[in-house]
Amino acid sequence: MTGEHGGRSILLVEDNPVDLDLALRAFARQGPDCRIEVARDGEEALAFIRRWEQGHPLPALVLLDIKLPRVNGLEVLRQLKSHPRFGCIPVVMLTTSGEDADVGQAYELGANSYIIKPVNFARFIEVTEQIEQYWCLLNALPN
Amino acid sequence: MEKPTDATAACDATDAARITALINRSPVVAIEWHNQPGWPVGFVSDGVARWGYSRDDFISGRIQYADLIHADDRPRIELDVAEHLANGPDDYRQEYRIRTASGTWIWLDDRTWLTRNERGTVTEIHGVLLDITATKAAEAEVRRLNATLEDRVAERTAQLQAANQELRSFSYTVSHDLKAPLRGIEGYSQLLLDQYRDRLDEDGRHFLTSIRRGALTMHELIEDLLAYSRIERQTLDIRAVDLPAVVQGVLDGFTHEIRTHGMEVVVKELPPQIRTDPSGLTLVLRNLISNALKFTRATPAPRITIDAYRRDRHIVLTVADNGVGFDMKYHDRIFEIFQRLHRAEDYPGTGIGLALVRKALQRMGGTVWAVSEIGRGATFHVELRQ
Repeated sequence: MTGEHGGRSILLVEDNPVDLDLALRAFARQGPDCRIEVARDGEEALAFIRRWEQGHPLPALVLLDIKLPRVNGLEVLRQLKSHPRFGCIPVVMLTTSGEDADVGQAYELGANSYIIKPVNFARFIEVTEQIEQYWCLLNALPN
Repeated sequence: MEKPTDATAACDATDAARITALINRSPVVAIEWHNQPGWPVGFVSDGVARWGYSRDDFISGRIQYADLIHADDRPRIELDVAEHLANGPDDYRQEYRIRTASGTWIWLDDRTWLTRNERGTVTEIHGVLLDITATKAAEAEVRRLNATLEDRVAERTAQLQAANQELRSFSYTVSHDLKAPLRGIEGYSQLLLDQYRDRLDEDGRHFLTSIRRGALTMHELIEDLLAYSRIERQTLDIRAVDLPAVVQGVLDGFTHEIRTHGMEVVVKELPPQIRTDPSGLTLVLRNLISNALKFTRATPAPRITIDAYRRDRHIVLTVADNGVGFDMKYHDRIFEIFQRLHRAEDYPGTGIGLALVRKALQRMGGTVWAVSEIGRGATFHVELRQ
């Protein structure tokens, strides 16, 4: 599989099963540029990224919801961005909240982009396409 | 010294009897103490009977006045008296408690003055004592009520803060938790329509489209609800605002609708500057203009007129249209959230626009009202305090 994806993966951090299933379906339409890895809460997300210490590759992108069980998205973001190695992984917030406070805090903590989950599925497919093209093809970090 | 005549003596005696009677009937107790330890009493008026004592209890020395004073007050009073005896002033006032014969405590207002001999030594202490127990109790009651009032204010404030916090988390819940299932309905119905279209007959596709339309309306309602609750949380920024520029800016946002609608827009001469919250004003104008566009849809020559007039210390902006208008018996209901006067098929919308206008104006310290007649358009008045 590594050859197919060029080893690149997107870590999708999402607890809602419906959103997760729809996101996977939307990304499945984009072709095999990236493998999608899933973490169901903030703690799982951090554990996944820390596997780098055992020699696993870092994800090319983290797609991060804010409202998550256990460790919330903003805390995951803070920990990643203040880490010497993980700080360079692009993090795109993908969340329902359009609250000024959430958007402001996310950017303050170093989020690379902030996307409000569209309710319209066709629009969501467009968003996933843009995410994948911009962050995984155009701006991919060297392996 | 001349011996007083019988007449004078009789007169003096009558006066003295009068004064004694008056004092005895008055609420005060007149008293004279000797300047000796324990303050023995040389004279006391009949009023002392009200405390359950006889004059003789004091005159005979059975009761020393100082012994009646409450233990909590006595050191303070003794110090105070010693200070006045030594250094004056010779006329002073004290409040303290004494024990009555029945064992209850009463508060006294004691107005005292001193008589000194030629060497300056105090020989007699005179007092007029008034029972102020009722006043003291009333004062204590007022203090107690004040304290409980403060407690109640604090309690209410806490309740309001909690309610406010609840409202805040409510809108968060609305945005997060209500939208999530909606994305499911929207997403899966779209997938169904895309991937199973050929396996559905016309009825099936119709049902699916209806589901999707319902989800869309629900989405609009949620967004409107959020916009409504967001107004509450926005901070006000009252400053000098270029009114014609704001009006033009809002109109520019409707360029497309105005053109396709064939709407004539008339902007009268407006005051160049008013004091208000610019984002609130923009929201108000945007909703009023959108409203005017909507309800002139069937009007042959649709027109919207924006004007302003002064009323006392207020500026009143008016947005008038020549659309369908409304029955004035609904003049207040149109500003309530999710209230509609027309069927959704005729005039789509969730019924939030005017509610947003009123809510925003409440926050800005303004008011809004509308004047209309069915078939003859409507004029919305927006009053802003200057």
